[in-house]
Amino acid sequence: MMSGLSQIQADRTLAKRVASGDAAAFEEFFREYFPRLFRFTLARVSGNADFAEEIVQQTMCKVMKKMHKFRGEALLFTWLCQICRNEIAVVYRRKGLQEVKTVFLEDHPAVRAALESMSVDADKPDSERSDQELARFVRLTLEYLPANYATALELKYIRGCTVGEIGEQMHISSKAAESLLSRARAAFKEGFRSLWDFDPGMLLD
Amino acid sequence: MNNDDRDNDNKLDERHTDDTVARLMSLAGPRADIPAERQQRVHREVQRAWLQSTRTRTAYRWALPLALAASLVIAINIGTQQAPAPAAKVGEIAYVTGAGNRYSEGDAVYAGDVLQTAGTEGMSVMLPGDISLRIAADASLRFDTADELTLLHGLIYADTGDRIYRQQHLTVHTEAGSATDIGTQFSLAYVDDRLSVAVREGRVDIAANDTIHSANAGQKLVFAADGGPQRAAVLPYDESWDWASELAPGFDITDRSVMDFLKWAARETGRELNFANDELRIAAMNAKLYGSIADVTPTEAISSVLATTRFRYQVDAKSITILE
Repeated sequence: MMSGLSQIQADRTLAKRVASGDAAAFEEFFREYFPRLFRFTLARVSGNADFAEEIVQQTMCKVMKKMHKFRGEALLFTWLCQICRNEIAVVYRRKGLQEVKTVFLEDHPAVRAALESMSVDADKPDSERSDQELARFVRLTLEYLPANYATALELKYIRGCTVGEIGEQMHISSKAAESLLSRARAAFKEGFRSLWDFDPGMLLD
Repeated sequence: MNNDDRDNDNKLDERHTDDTVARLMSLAGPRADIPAERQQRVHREVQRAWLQSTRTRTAYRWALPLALAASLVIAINIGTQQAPAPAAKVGEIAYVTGAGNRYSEGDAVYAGDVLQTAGTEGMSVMLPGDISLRIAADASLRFDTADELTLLHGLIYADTGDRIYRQQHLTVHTEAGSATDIGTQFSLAYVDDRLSVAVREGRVDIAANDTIHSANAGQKLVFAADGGPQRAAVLPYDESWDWASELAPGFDITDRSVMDFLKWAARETGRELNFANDELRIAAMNAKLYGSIADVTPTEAISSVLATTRFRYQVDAKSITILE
């Protein structure tokens, strides 16, 4: 994972390019952030995909009008999540529905931003809940990784692809896939540690 | 600590990281799948908002200087006429069949073009991203963009590759619904107001009657004008795919491995590719081919190419097997 500062710098550059009318930058922005924002929203609207689509569409349309105002005080994803959270409230209000409650476990801005997508299932037994919460931690960490890192990890560990197959799927050489995977693993661990403040391996011992 | 100790420590760390990540990832499971149809709908709207917003800001930024320069620009342009911007090239015709076919191999296809085939004609068109599109006889297909087509009438087939993670998906619209591929081989027919989609490999999402229906490999969905889809089975090597294989663009075997050729032939004919053992698989990867299989169908090519190699093989309706 990039350091916070260089990620913010990269975000600022991308936002500037999108705002200036650069079509390639727009596609890069959409590819990178639509899936993450969609999953973020889906977790907050009880899995209602139609709601999530409507909210993400409105959020991203709004963001297009505000993009030139992005100053990089926070990560672009954090900024998007904030706008999206407001949009969720607006849509729920308009439809006369009660919004899903979310719980904030920490005050640290980065952790808070990540936790924004978590809702609590109070009815589940403790053991099931801790597994589910850990799974959520993992998913959220993945959302904070660059999209190609998350994809490489998913191909390797969920779909069981070999390095060669990962390369094929991602249009890169096997050597590049191996290197990407190694960076993705390190970024995942580092990201997990910095977001949640503990080593992920500790949970599995 | 010497260098060897440091190397060993690094390897142990790497193994530990790999194990931790593997266990955590398996706990989390796959990320939620987002239907391509949703993604495209949102993309369309967001892109519209983006274009509008950049135009508005650009117009505002240039409003004053433009106003000042307006009289000069008008003076210069008097008597001249701006040519309309040329349409974007979206593909190229790769193969044509049928006497009197008005199209030729190598012809460019531009956004807005409508390609039509008559009774005995057919053609294949290559689109960006190595997407191979086949148009059967008696069809009419409009190319709206490189990844959005409108089938006005007839039967088409698309091979968009076997990669799950592609940046773009191909969508084919008809009056009865729209089909979006998720890395696949599929055919789509729109005849007499009836839409049918058959999936040979992968998955296709079809938006019809305000609902998204998924069709997986081996399924065929038929939508009547007034009702939901009827599902039927269709095998990847079913003869209903033969017309599409016959329109496959040529495969240049020169300097390609036997493995490359076999993968192509297996994919084009819907057959499974098997090797009696791993040594044969490696040998097929290392053996190079020379020559040409122009004007030969993929099924015919299997035996004509393999006959020139040292590999023993068996071909039946379902599979190609390389024997010991």
